[in-house]
Amino acid sequence: MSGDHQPTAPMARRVAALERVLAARGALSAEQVDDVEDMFCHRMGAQNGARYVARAWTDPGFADRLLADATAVVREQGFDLRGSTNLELPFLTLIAVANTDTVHNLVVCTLCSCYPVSLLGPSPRWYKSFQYRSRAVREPRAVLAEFGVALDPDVEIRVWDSTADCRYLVVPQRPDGTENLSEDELAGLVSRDALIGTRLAG
Amino acid sequence: MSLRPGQPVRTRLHAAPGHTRLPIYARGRTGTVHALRGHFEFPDDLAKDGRAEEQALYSVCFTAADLWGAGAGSHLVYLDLFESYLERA
Repeated sequence: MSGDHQPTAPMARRVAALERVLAARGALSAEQVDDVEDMFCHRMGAQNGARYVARAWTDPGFADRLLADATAVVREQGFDLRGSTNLELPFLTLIAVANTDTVHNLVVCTLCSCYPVSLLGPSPRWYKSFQYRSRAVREPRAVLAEFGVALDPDVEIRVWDSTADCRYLVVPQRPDGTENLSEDELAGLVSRDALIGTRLAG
Repeated sequence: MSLRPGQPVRTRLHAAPGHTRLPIYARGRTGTVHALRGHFEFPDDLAKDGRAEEQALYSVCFTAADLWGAGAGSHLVYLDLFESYLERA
């Protein structure tokens, strides 16, 4: 009878119960769970994507290679530019798209919430919302304005809908007055949202 | 069917029942091939059979007017679409 269901246990208790069973059967160790948690919470994240952008800002040759074949660059450099690579990272092909004085790029996944997790970290709630997913392809200029990105009417907006196996990374424009900053300082100017295209760097 | 950048293409109006990576808003629309992304397992078959042949995946560019009609603005929307979803326009 549909009215006779027991209340579902809270998610945390269900996960803990599942973890105990898997550990008891030797399928999973506590160290493995900690490692995955650390990867998602600390090692993966927008600081990785930001390093790519800062390097592109300071090294034109790197920028050219990144925009021509970001997949090859990431496989060569690791997702943090320091050689760290996890073959199970949830993207196969990376495309980098650069903002210019005349072009602004915006990334969305209208079908679900695809995005380069290893370079940006877990996606924000709004990125998965029906509102963002439906409006980004329909009225991106209005969506960007709500994010505080007021673009000149002449700037062309390119929306990248990650419908298949490719993941997208926006290379924002380097802010004015940053000529004397180091690569690490420049990386600090690049937020997760700037890598999605809903914010400018700086 | 091999497509080159710049070629006009039209997306299929109806996908087969079941999983697909062709969004409803881009069905039966005319766009322009932007680039070949590579070859990947066709997700519509993968979801159904657990395995699939690889297929060409193209980045296809649509104008706002292509997708939403006149008055929709001037932005461009790029989708990654499998060869099976496309026909020459």
